[in-house]
Amino acid sequence: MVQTIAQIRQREISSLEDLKEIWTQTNGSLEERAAEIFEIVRDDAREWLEECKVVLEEVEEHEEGNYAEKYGGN
Amino acid sequence: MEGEIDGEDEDGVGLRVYDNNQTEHRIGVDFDGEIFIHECDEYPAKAAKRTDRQNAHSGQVRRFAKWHVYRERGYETVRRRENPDVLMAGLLAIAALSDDQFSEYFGDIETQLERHYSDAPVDLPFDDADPDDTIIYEKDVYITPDPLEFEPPVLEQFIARFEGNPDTPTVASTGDVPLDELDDLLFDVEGVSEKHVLHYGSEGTEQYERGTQPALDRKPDFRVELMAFDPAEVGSFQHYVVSHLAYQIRDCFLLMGLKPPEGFRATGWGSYKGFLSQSAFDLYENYWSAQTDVTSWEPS
Repeated sequence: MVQTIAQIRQREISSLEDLKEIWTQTNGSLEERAAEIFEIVRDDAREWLEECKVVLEEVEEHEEGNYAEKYGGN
Repeated sequence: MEGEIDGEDEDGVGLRVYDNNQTEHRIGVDFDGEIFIHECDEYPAKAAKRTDRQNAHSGQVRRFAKWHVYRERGYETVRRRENPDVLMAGLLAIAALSDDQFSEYFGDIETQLERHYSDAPVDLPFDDADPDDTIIYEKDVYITPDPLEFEPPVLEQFIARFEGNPDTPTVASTGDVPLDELDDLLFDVEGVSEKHVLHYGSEGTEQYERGTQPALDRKPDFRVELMAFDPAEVGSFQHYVVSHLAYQIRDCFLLMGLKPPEGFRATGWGSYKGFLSQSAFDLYENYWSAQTDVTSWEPS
């Protein structure tokens, strides 16, 4: 069992503030790789992310629509 | 980010969501999590006419709407591998593996990562891939028992074990969950897929090789998504994978436009989608990088 989780189960870590200290991190190799493509990804990400494609007010694969008619809420 | 359910019918649940720009969205979510209505008077309908921030807010709203319906009505409207309750169960399942079990399930990825930083050849499924390119290794994981069968939800039960306020909407404060309602939260890994490999070439091309799934008649619960790095930098690869799932939980909240719960506000590599979003939109900081000094955990 991972030591930190053992500590949690044994109540050695008792606060949420301490909990965030136990997650381990890389020390540069990942960041170095990611930085190399960061600018490329920055531009391309918009093509891959759902929110940059979705059409609002579109009724997707349903014939139902018009929020006010179905659920009111005005 | 706030949500208010207006009604439910045979098609799904209707709710109004107010994004972090205080703009109202009217959303219809069906019982499988598909959004079949998304109305917003303030933003252009076509994505290309919206600003980056409006696109980002629209994405946050859609994810939050699914989460709100899941938590308020109990329908499985959140994709499992984007559900913090499932990820929390997965974190506990992987943490509980013995060294031998962990090696059986994830040893191939650890060995592959080591090869990136040694003289050993790196076997990649793409002819034109350079090991120094950006490579992401993934594994789908199946756990038992079903993490969605718990009440209170798994993440709330986990957080309730600690002192302090999670300080985020939609997650109960620690004192709100009675200790006598807490389960043991013991989860087992039932199976894992072979590794999937995602490759970005320096010219911006993307390739994906999908590994075989185990013979389990259901969808996986979550996905480990590791950017190639030198595993010698971390004391325990198992601890790193566990931490990676904590960062995935963080990213789920951020992508819903919410502060992650206290306890998950740490920097490191989480989800691939989190990385893309943090790269593309200026309302996020680079939480994926351990070298970032975060100024705010509240996505704008």
